Amino acid sequence: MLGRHKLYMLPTRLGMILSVVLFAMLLASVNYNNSLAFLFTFLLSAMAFVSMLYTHRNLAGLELQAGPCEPVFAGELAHFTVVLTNNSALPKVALRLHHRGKEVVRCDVQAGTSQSAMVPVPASQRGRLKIPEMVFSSDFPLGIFFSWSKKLKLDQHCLVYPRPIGELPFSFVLNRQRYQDRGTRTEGDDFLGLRAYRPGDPPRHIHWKAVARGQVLLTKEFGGAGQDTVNLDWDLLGDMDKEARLSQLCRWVVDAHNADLHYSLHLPGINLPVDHGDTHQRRCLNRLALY
Amino acid sequence: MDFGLPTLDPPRLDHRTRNGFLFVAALVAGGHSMRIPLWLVLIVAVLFVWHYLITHHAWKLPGKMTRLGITLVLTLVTLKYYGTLFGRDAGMGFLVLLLGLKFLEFRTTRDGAVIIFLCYFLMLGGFLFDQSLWVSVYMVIVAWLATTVLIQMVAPSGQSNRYRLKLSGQLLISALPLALLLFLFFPRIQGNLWGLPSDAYSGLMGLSDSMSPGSISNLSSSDEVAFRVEFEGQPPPPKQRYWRAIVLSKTDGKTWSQADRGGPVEHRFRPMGTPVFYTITLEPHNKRWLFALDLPASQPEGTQLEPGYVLRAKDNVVQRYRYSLQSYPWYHTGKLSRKQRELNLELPKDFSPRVKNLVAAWRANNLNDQGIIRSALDYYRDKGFTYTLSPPLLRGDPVEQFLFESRRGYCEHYASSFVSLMRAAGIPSRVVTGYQGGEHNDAGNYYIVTQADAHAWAEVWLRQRGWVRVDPTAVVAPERIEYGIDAVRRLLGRGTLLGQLDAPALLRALKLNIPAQVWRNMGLYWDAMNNAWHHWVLDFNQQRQLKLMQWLGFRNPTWADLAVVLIGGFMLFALVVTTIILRRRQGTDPVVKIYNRFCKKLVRTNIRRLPWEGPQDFCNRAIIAQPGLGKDIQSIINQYIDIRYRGENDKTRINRFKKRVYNFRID
Amino acid sequence: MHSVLDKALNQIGQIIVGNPQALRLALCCLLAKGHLLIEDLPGVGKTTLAHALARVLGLEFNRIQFTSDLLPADIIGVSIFEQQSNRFRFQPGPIFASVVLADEINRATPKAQSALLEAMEERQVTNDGETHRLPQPFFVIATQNPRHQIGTFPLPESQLDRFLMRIELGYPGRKAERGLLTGGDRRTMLSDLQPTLSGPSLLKLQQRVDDIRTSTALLDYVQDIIEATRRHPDFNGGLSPRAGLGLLRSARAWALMEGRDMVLPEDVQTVLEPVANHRLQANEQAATVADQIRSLSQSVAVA
Repeated sequence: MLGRHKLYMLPTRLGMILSVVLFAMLLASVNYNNSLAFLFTFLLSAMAFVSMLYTHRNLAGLELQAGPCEPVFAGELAHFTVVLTNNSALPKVALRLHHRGKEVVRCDVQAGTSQSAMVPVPASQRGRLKIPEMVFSSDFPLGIFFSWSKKLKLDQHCLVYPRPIGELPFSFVLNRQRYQDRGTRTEGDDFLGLRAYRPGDPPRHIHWKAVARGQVLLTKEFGGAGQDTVNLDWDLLGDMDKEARLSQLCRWVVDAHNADLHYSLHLPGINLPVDHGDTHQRRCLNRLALY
Repeated sequence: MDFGLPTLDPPRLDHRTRNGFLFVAALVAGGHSMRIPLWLVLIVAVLFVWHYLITHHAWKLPGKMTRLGITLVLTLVTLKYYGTLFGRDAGMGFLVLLLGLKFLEFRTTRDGAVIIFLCYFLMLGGFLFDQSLWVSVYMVIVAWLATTVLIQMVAPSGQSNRYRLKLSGQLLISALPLALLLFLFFPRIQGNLWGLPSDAYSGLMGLSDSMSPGSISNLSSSDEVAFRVEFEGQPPPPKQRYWRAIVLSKTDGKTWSQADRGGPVEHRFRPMGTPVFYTITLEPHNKRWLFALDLPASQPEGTQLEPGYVLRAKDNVVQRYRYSLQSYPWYHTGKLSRKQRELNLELPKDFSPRVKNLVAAWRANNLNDQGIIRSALDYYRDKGFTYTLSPPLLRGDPVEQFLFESRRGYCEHYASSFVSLMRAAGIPSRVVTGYQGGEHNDAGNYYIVTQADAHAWAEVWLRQRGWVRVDPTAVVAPERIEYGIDAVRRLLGRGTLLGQLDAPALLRALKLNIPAQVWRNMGLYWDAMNNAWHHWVLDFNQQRQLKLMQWLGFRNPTWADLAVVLIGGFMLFALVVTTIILRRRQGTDPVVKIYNRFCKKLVRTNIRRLPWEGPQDFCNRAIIAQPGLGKDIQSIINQYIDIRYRGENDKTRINRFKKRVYNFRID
Repeated sequence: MHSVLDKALNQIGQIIVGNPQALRLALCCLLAKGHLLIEDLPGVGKTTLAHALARVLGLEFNRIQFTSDLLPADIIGVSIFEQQSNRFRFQPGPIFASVVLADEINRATPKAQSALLEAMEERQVTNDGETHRLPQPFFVIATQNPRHQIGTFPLPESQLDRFLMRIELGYPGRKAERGLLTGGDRRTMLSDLQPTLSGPSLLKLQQRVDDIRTSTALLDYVQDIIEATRRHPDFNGGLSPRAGLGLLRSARAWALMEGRDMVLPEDVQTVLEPVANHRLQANEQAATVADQIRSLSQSVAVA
């Protein structure tokens, strides 16, 4: 809740300009000793003063909560949802949400309603990304006073998965494990979808029609001859450092999920048994994010 | 750690907002268009249209050099035209130009705000020229719109125009108490800060301090108000309403002018009968003279009596000036000093022998002074003289020309020729100018004297009675004195000869048709409103402020006292306005309480509302269970839905709903 | 009820017999500018419903049969090289229609599914860096076989959120079934349908949904409902803000269909089940989601 004690206010640059104009108007009124000019000058001055209260009112009684944030991969933008609730009977207009002096959101909230806004925050590192401290402000109605809240700490995190990159293609695991476990295996004949071509893909799987249309090289993925089971194991990547390993595993999890494979994940101290589907993927990625 | 959040672009001003700016600027510039030269009006209009085209065809704004060039050229042209860029007229002309030029670089919200602020200043400039009620109402509306446009710029989306108009209206209204407080108690200084530019009071019209043929008839078509009069008690009849201002004793045969000052002031006279009390509100005329009914017997503060029983202000009257007087319509002025006598008998050396002969013929009949006066007036009556608003141009000796040849003239011709005749006959006499008559305003119970009522008459000095007023115009055009200049204009316009009709026929001729009557009455009401506006708002000055402070209990108010009142009032205002504006508008809904009471009443008929049941479902169920009460239940629940879910929650509806539930009974 | 909509519903009701509530919800979903997911067994009239809806509303209709070898390009269209002009020209796919029936959406691969869902969300299609706007109004009816059928790719939860409502048609009642068995041929009846609305007038109706009033009291109620779903122990997670907005929109559309100019709590209760049931996941031990939602809406008091 943005209480009254938490709001600050200063005149804006426009306010300064207006005060100079009003002073000039006062001088003209005095010099010409013109009653109506006096009255008009005073009316505008009083309006400028009263607008200060309107500016304050426009922010008072506004509630700010952070909503959930969908997990993202490192290097992407995390979109935090902030929900602005207006408990008063008046609309809150021309609101701005800042972070470190930068405006990130502009919105209005109608009387008695809530408005959710997305705050995009770049997620640079895996782990938990805290929602940055936010400041609310508005210069409504006349733009001559600027009111803002103190920095609001919101209790919300976004889970950031490792960057799904890694030099080793997915086929690396697949192949190794196929040879290890069951010897040679056909790749199945159910069409799974298309993905970008990676060096080493068999030529007959290249989507030649697309090439003929002048598009980039695409590889057709096939699967489905029985269930593929993959073990995504930390120890497969013996000579890499920790972050690179996590990124590599992350990429594999994503690939395995996209191919709808059944897979397990092994990290030192963590064993996630073979499974598939959204929930399994999410669980695996969580572990990678927080490892 | 810097998150490097992506920033938003600065808000852009859309077409509709820009149209709002153009609209307000056009209203403001339009208000000044009558006072600035036509070429400037056209240039500013072109600048506005240019901006309109720029926004609507997504053209580019002109470059910096183009802008600079245009600004420089137009500023120089304006400077050349006015000779200066300061002062009232040139300053406002220049600011209107700047307003137009600002649209050429109207990019950001700051430019927009500067445009609005410039508009505010130009509105104030409008008041320096015209403070009428009409203009004030216009300016308030424009200020309201300008503020609305400013709000639209700050909050361009999401809200309706109606909301913005309402909000800016609220802002202005809630600012009004503070504005009044400042208006009443902000220390006023009498006088100017840097001296008024010479053009400050130009354009004021009225009498001039000399009279030559044509100088008064110039005014005969002007309906501008000269002054307004409120009488205490019975007002004097029209033929006594001579408002004297200037006494003209010197002549060169053509022009009449005031005598040089000097000599003792002959302001004593013996009043006779009962005095008339009245208050005059004088429109500024930038001259010192004040108007008074023949003859003034009192001397308001800040004025002085000067030779000829005329009242003078200490300085030129540049603001509306209100003073109370007492006059005696009947008087005896007593003896005439030798110097005065000589002054009032003076004639030019080459005075017309033809006129001398005429007067000599009257003298030869052994007439006394009064007989001569009568002969002169008979001469006007019988020798075919007519009263006209457009007298012919007189060449040579105007008095001789008028008396023997043209015989068509306005009051100034009659007054000057009469005085010439009198002086030729050796009777001391002089011309007096001022106003005669005045129209009664029923709406405000006062008399309006306009410039068209300007008049010139004669005064002769008789041994038995002192100075006596003689108005030769009354002989030729009695309607001018009895019914006023407006009646004369209408009669002449219809081709009626003046002085021919008897009173009932005149009244019939002067009766207005109904639309004209309505129009006239509306005009009078408007004038009464304007007068009140002037009295209560415009004429508030240092003296009135002083009186107000004394009324509040400060014996000798100082600036410090004013500051105390201002600060005290300001704190009170801030307290009240803050509570009103920042009051919390929420809380448990009393409507729900009333609805719950209604549901409780229904429990007795075994209809129990389930907690999650909506009003419509409950209504349908209750009606099926209790068809007898169906009508009541339906109407009560409909009221509830209207209030709570349609949002029509005004007080009267809630009260009606409350009453309905209260009266609902189950038998 | 709104007379034009009433007439339209009557017409469709002659063809799809036995479940008027489902028809009304389908229309409500369309008015609320949402997309509809019909989950049911084959042969209960999903296709006929979509077809009839398009015809009565006077809209263009396309049908995409989802199969496992369907490519995204088969949905959104492809760029074809034109010899004369020496340029690529975009050939719009079947998604460029006002009513699109995506039949058996869970038979296609996730790639094809997401191509459709992205187009639904953005109401535009991007191909080779060029953006093509989809027609207005744009309404997707996707059908899905219940999950326990073999050889399907069930839509992931996050994708289900893109559908405003999910309804089930169910088997017709005994009487309605008899009507089906003895009545005329559905195909002929379909072609005999007269349009009662048109694209522009439908757009106008959709705009009127925005004008339906929602008082603070009602918004309080909607928020109470949403919060209740988040607190409810039998669900894994509650309704998202997007779902909340969808709920309010649907309630508005329903109020318009009821011929009112404001939303009542009853409207929210009516649309809650179709809006929420595909977004909420019940815990294992719980009964069906529909029952859960009913009990939930009865736990929130109306004032």
